[in-house]
Amino acid sequence: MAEPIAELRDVHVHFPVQRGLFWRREVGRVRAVDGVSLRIARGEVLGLVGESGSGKSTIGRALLRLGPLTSGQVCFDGQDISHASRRALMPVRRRMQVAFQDPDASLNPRLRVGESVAEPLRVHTKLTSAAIDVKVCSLLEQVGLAPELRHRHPHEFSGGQRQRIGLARALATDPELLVLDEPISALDVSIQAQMMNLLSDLRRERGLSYLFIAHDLGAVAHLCDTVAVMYFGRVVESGPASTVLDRPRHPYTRALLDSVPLADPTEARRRGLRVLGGEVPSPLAPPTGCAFHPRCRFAGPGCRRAVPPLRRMDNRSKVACDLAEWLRLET
Amino acid sequence: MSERPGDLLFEARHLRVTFQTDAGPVPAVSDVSFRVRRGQTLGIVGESGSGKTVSSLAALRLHDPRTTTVAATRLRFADLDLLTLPQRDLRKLRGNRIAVVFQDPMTSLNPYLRIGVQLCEVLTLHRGIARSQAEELAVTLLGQVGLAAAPERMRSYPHELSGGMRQRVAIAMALLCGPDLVFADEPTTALDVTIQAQVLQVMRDQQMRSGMALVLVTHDMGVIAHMADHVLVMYGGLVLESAPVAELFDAPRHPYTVGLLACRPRPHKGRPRHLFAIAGTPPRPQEMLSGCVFAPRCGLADARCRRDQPPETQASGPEHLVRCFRAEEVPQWARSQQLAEQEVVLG
Repeated sequence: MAEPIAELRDVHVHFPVQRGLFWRREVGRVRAVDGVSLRIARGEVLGLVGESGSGKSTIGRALLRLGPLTSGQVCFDGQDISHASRRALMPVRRRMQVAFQDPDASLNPRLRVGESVAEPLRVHTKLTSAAIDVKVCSLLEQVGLAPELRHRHPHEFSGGQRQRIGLARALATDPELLVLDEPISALDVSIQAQMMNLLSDLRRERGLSYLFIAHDLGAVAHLCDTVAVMYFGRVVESGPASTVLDRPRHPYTRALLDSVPLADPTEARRRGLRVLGGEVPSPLAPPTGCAFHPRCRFAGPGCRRAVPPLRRMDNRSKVACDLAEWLRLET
Repeated sequence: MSERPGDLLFEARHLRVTFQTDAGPVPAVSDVSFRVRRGQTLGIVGESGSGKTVSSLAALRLHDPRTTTVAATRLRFADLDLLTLPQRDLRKLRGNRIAVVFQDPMTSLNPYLRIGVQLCEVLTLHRGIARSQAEELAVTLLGQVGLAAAPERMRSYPHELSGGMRQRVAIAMALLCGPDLVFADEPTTALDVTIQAQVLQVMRDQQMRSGMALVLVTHDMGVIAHMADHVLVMYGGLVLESAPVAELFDAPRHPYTVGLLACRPRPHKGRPRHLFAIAGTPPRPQEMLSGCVFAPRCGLADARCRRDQPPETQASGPEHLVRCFRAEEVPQWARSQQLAEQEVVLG
């Protein structure tokens, strides 16, 4: 298989839970990410889905080395960056950028947007001011904004436009990998489609790879080549997007797909709402065995005993369910 | 007064809402009319700034009279005229016969008070029920909205609950007095899809149980398809299309509705390279121009659309209204758009 652009190997991210005002002591650990391995091939879009609290954003931050890493390996383009220093990370950061759900997280309200887009170029390159200005104009054009707008401040733009500016800034250093953390969920429906089209165009033109973190399964189906479904800090199913989303093998993936309301009143009335009961368990009181068993309608006594390993089902798909072979999960 | 399902319960006619700002009056809602029938669900869809929240709050006269002017030719709830009803009587109505659920449950929950105290307050205030009896009713309702361990939850503070649980509490609070009408403003937007399905089911069950009517404001066409009987499509402070749900989805007559239905990626559909996208951005209330509000983003707009404001006309059935000069051509235009999309997939 081709060398992946990025890879996570058995990554754990645990946060200590502390009590006490003066004598702080650790009383427990939240296993936000608990042994996750993922690979993103060059030019590929990997979608990471799951409910809030499943650990998907923590994985994005671990990949960027923006957050802590308890154990495991993070590799970028074959290079192990798990323990790289800030200095050693500089050249890697240029090639690996991020766009957040809230574009204001990456835009300084007091800077003109042109200056915000130029900032990564000042940090990472030795271009002259004139060359930077030319580049900023072309970046804004690529995300569908008029270059004249670079002299304005963020508050003069709509949410969708600010999201585009955040994207222009992320693209400034010509990265090879973009981490997109819920890039469309704060946008209006008509603007979401524009953003999705922009992301697929940019990918094709620049040969970019994306880690696309989202809870909108429609958007994931549209943009992603492969999908990993997360639940309670672990990957429960992964594989090609068409396999995972059209023929899911894990009861959780099925339930997630069933929860999406159908935009078809006749079909919606016939099928009714398919409701998955319960909630993601509290990280302070994790269930025994498979974390999904309290909500799973197929769960048997075996599911309560041991955590099911993520098993290879065929060439490209994996499922973490002991019963996967026996379940019939049709719609 | 008759109280059969299907009877008219709430009616707003030619509702106008204007914000008084330092820069002068800004029209937020220019002309909105709607009816809600007993036991039914009216869905209001639209993007941010379309006026969907403003018009539903104004219809309940929940606006701030110092900054907002509301006018209407008719505003009725059951046999009451809300235009002339004194605020004191309105307050008795809201929370009692009419309830509101907001997107952020913390809008209606007090962070300093235990859940049980807040729920019982509603009953003692509006219904004059004794505390012990109120507690019993509150626990029953928390059970009905699917909150596990309801008696213990009564002692919890809002911060001890997850977002989904808080929204259930807010819904339970809205339902406590057995309202005839519930206004729910994006009640599931902040929730995960799994929790969204749970919350929608709770509202459905309550409607079955008590025959209440629901006004559901959302931007999600999927939620509309599952819940609504009749739908208003709002844009730029106007209702662009109003139709029974099946008609709206099968035969939309406004180009904006066509766009809203087409631009949503679906998990079970094939993958066209491009999604159908509505170009441009929604208008801001300050920059309302002459002509149709949607014309600057419309693929069908001509010179007349940019000059004159299209009136509301009847489309196919008596309940299907549309505000578009070219509504007749929309079905054919929509088909040609779909064809273009398919070619992209093949190419």
